[in-house]
Amino acid sequence: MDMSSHPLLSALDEPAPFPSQYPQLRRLDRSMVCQICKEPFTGPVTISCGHSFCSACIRSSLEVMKKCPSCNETVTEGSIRRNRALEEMVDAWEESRPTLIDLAQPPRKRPAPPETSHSKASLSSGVKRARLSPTGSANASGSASGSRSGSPTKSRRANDVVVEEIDENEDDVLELTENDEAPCPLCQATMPISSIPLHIEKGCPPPKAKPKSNGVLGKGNQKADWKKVFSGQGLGGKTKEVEMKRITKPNYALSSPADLRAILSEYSLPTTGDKPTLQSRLQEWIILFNSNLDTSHPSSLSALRAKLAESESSKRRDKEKGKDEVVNQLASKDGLAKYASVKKSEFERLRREIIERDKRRKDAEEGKGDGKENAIEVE
Amino acid sequence: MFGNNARAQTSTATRRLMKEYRDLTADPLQDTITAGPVSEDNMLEWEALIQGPEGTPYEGGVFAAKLVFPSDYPLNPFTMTFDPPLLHPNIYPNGVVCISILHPPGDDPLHYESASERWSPVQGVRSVLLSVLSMLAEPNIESGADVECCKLYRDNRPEFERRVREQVRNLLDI
Repeated sequence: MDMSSHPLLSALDEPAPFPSQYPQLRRLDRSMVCQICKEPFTGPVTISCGHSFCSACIRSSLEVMKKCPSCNETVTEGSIRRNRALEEMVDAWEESRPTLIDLAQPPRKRPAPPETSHSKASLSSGVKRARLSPTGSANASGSASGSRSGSPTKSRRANDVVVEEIDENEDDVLELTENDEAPCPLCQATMPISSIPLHIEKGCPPPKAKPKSNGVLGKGNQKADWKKVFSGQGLGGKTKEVEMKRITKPNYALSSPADLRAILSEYSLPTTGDKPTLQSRLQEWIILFNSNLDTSHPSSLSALRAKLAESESSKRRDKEKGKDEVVNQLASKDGLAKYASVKKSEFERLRREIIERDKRRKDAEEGKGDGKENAIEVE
Repeated sequence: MFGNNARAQTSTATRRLMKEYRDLTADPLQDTITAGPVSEDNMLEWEALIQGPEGTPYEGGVFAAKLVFPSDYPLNPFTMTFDPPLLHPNIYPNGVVCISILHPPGDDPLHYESASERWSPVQGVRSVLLSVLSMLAEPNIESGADVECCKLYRDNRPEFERRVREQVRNLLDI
């Protein structure tokens, strides 16, 4: 059955898994995933036992129990250390994943390999390649491409043409600027010349990903630069009110609602609700804020605030849907006892029923005859 | 970075459960267990069908159980309730499964549970259902839930097995 079309899963923007004939790639893929949220690490950190999780995941887990979720070793929040190497690995892996998925497809499904497309378009691509390369090596690259395709005569001819065209178009070569577009010599995707070396170095990621960073090269860079300037300024400006420093957790038992509201307003957060609401909001904010300091792609404070509001409302929705109360009750020893006392009459009734059933069964067995039928019919 | 849009609309619990459901369907847990959400708009309630393990009195039976997840899942475990209740030393008469992997983190009053047996956020539906399967095969009467049943299991095994078989037959007849 095709579960990918299931309505529940359509909301999951899952990248496709690796085909099953590559267990090693699947394993590599799994190793980039946090065991708590089951998603690729975001701001990975390592704790004292050596296990790694997303910063936000382990911080919220430590709120519930001060133990490593994987090995149960006692862990304190103070032992959390940012794992920069892992973050770099996950970033690099996410970037190369689409390419690897592509390469892992069965050969016939793969887009035509460069060799065939090359020999087909040997003339035109030869010219383009020659144009791209500095004048000195143009000849060499032209002959190299010629010799790879077909018969010697053909290659000779292609070679000649290429050389001729280069001579004719010598001016062209000089006029090209780095913002002009040209096809990548390996995958034929069109992109600005200046970005081709990097593109090849990255193993030719599919062109779909390209427009994001290179769509309009100048503008994109400008935008990013401005963003940097703004966020830098923003941070600089904000430091007066909000210090980008880890928040130390207050002692919730000793804090009054007013204390909690004061901290919340320090970070421009809503201060509505009773103490438990304030506390859970502040707890969540501290997790969001502190884990945001563990990543090299930090979100802005306003994005964090939006995340907090969203998580609060989604939790509320879940609470309405779920049977949290019953779950919570059954989760604790006292709650279980309470639940048991409430349901005592029901238990008692069931128990009596069972005893009665046993008795009847015994009677039936003694009476044999149609006893068996009788026993089955009870219930 | 990864699907921020989808993540924004759903809670951590829902998202994590979607992942688990996806993994369970992509890589099923043996043929003996199926599990999935009851309705599309509420990921916090699942239903599981478990086949009685071979070589146990439960063999041949198919048992339905309800899984109810808290809104802070996976920080806290879910509850599992057999409906209709199943006769087993580790299942309360109302059907709630009592198994160490489903005990909330923090309290371990008896100090007998080893690390791998406790709930932690790295556990999930898959690991719990596997534990339940082995629980069906090997009841643990040291931490029984149904005391009567524990006694019966300890003192009169043949009678226990007979009653379980009878219950299985009843379930199938219905």
